[in-house]
Amino acid sequence: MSIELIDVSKKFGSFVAVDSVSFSVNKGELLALLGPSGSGKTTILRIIAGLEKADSGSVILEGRDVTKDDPRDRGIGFVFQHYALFRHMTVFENVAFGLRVKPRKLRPNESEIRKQVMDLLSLVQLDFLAHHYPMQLSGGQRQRVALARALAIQPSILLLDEPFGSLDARVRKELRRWLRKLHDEIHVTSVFVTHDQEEALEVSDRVVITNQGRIEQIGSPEEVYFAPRTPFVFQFLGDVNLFHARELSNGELIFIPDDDSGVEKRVFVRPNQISIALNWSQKNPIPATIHYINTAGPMVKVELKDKKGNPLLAFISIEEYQQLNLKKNMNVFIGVKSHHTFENMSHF
Amino acid sequence: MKGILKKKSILPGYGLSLGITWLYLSFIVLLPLSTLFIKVGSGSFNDFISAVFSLRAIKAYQVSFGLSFISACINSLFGFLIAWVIVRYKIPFKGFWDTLIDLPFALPTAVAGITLTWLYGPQGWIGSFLEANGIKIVFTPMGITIAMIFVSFPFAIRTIEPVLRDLDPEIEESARCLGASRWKIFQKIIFPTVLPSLLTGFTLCFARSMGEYGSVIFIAGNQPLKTEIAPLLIVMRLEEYDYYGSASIALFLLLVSFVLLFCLNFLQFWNKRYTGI
Amino acid sequence: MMKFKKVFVYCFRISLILISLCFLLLFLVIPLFVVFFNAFSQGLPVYIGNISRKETVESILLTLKILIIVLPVNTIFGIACAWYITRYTFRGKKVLLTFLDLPFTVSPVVAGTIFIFLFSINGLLGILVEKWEVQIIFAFPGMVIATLFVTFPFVARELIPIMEEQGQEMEEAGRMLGANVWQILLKITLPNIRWALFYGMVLCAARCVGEFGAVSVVSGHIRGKTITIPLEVEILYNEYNLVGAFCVASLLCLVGLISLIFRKWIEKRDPVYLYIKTHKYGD
Repeated sequence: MSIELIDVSKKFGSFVAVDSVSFSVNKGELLALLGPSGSGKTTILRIIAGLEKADSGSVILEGRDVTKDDPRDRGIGFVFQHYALFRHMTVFENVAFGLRVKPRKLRPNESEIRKQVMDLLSLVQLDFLAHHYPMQLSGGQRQRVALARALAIQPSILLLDEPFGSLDARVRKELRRWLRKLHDEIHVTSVFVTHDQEEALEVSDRVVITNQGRIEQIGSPEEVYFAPRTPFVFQFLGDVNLFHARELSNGELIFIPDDDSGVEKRVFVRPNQISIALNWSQKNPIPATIHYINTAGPMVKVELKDKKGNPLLAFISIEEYQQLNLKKNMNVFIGVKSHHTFENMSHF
Repeated sequence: MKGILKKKSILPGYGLSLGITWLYLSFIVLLPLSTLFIKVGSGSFNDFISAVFSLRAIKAYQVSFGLSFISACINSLFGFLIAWVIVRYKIPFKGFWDTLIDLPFALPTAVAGITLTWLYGPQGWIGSFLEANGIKIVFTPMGITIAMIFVSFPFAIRTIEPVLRDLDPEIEESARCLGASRWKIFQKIIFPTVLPSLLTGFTLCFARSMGEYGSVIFIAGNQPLKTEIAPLLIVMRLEEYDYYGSASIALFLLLVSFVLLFCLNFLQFWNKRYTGI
Repeated sequence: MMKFKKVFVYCFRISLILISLCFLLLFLVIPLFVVFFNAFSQGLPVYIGNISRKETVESILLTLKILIIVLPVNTIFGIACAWYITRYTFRGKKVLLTFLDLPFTVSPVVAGTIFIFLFSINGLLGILVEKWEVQIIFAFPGMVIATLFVTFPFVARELIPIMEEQGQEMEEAGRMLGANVWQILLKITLPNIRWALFYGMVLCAARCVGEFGAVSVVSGHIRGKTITIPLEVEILYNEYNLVGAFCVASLLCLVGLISLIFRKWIEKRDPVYLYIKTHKYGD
């Protein structure tokens, strides 16, 4: 166990930022802290780093309780959201900083510093920019300098706060694959914070999903995506259609009930799990009207409205779309291929 | 929640910076100020009242506060005008003017004093011209006002200028599109936005003029009851060995300064609604 | 009709510009010119003779002696105070910030007077004066302390807005990389605020050299002992040595002008600083 948080809480004034959070990170793992803004994920990261002091609970790193330790004694590399590069120093000096401020006895000599820094810079593929200043670099380059700087002190743990948050969409995608590759090379235990579910699911080994200062679910990307434990997780990880249906005693779901038999259920369905047919059938029982069709992209997005006027969203393949020859304002019947229901509906 | 000892940041040096700050402030500000209160407190309330509101003192306040008020009004007007011209119009040597505007802050007050006295005096260029036309400025309240205007006018310009600069042109353009005339735009949009900083500039000018000593005493003539300013009266009382009287007037001026500081804080709070800073 | 309106607007604009320029001419250019005109009115030899007089040189030396003490003390205070205010949250910050405005609203004469009472026999620190038998008021120490009071916030007030603006991420990054407090201060904080720091020191020095009211009260006007440059100007003027007074005044003027030019130079070098600077007065 590389990082362990036990019952950590933190308040800012009366605002509860982190509410008794416990989780652990395995050695060499790449973990994502995923949640909407204000869900406490950055605060959790800063508590691990020691940049915030928790009100209660403890932080254990490599089996050592560091709750009261100063951040500089924790051996953590931290990559700030806006990089926090020293703007008056060259890229080289930025990366060398952590080595130069070591106590005299532990400080490597100048040629060793040079070698280590240049090795790191070639690891992040920036050795050709060593003597530039941060202001002269692009966002993605700054990001990688910040990473090299954090790695210079050979941290046992690497923390990244919204590492791709301030980059444009294309660079983001490139850089996150690169980060995954880098992690596979150096295997340092890493935690990164993000509000982008796609990013978290693509890059990480495991995901911790936070909401309102609490943890909603911890698991591998597949687990949280296919077996969400709460409606919040389900909704946060993708588009959702909400149906009101009745569940009969035999477990069968009736979407268009004739009477009050069974129990009322709320049913969550992903857009790609909705089927569309031109005629009524057992499989496609729900009448709806097509409201809008968007064919740009790998899937065709069809927006519909049911008889009560509730909006529905369906993703179908292009072949299916052409075969059905769907048009705007067409009356169709839709069905549910697979769905989720939750016992605890207190959030809704 | 331990008052001034509350700490949030993890950055080191908290105790050191706190220690230096409060120790130094205690020695250089709090201790001296409390002395003044103690000194005045050594007499009865009646002593205090009679020292602060003696005829000579009241006349001195009239001179100091009255003329400070007049000069602050003049400075607010010209401050607004000059800030407007600097921000909006192309003028020759703008960089030169922009640099030179702060001259009264940088120029020692004694130098300002003798310069203005000479300039407006009988042998000076402006003074000789005015005196030929029967206007006397040196050793009159008018001279004091001119000195006060000189030492404080950059305050007015420098408080208004950034607000005018930050006025979003889109707001004016949209008002224009809505059919507002130039005068209406000024009256309804520009003036209300600038008002808090105009008042801030006014207060700063007033405070500076009220306390000004070096530049005023040369041009004032310092006749008791006529052209004697309040700060000078403190010095006169000291020289007469009337320490209690001096302390009382000093305390009174200090209290007025505190009131002005309070006004400035309030204006800052008010201004936040517009600037969001 | 449209044309008439256009002409009117144009004339209005021109007259606004003319009024402004007249005001600035009257209150900036002419006074500045007067100082140098009078200083050099009897030629360069007289000017040099005037500023190399024994009393003048003594006053310059005394002013420099005060400056050598005041500037470092207020610089250290300024850095510590700005660090304290911008890097931590605590109650009473507003009060502290108000204190920093104090010398701008309190009359320098009041400032001088309170130190007279502080060190008088009955004053709070009078006991010290008696015990150690040091002359503070009407002597060098008193002048230093009075100058400290009128100049103490200059450095802090220049640093606070810029340190607030920069935030503390860079310093946190330094901490995460293992730097101690001095390494953070010297290698990260100070290099990033150096221009504001320089300018604060220039302002502090200019005010220190030019301070008249507070110093005049505590100086006692002892020739050759407690006369600073501005007091020398006053003495010469009161002795009806007009040219002499303006000669010495021109030196002070030069100090002021240098500080103004220095500020312009800094703003050119560091646009970020300019931005903060122009937004400071308004807030």
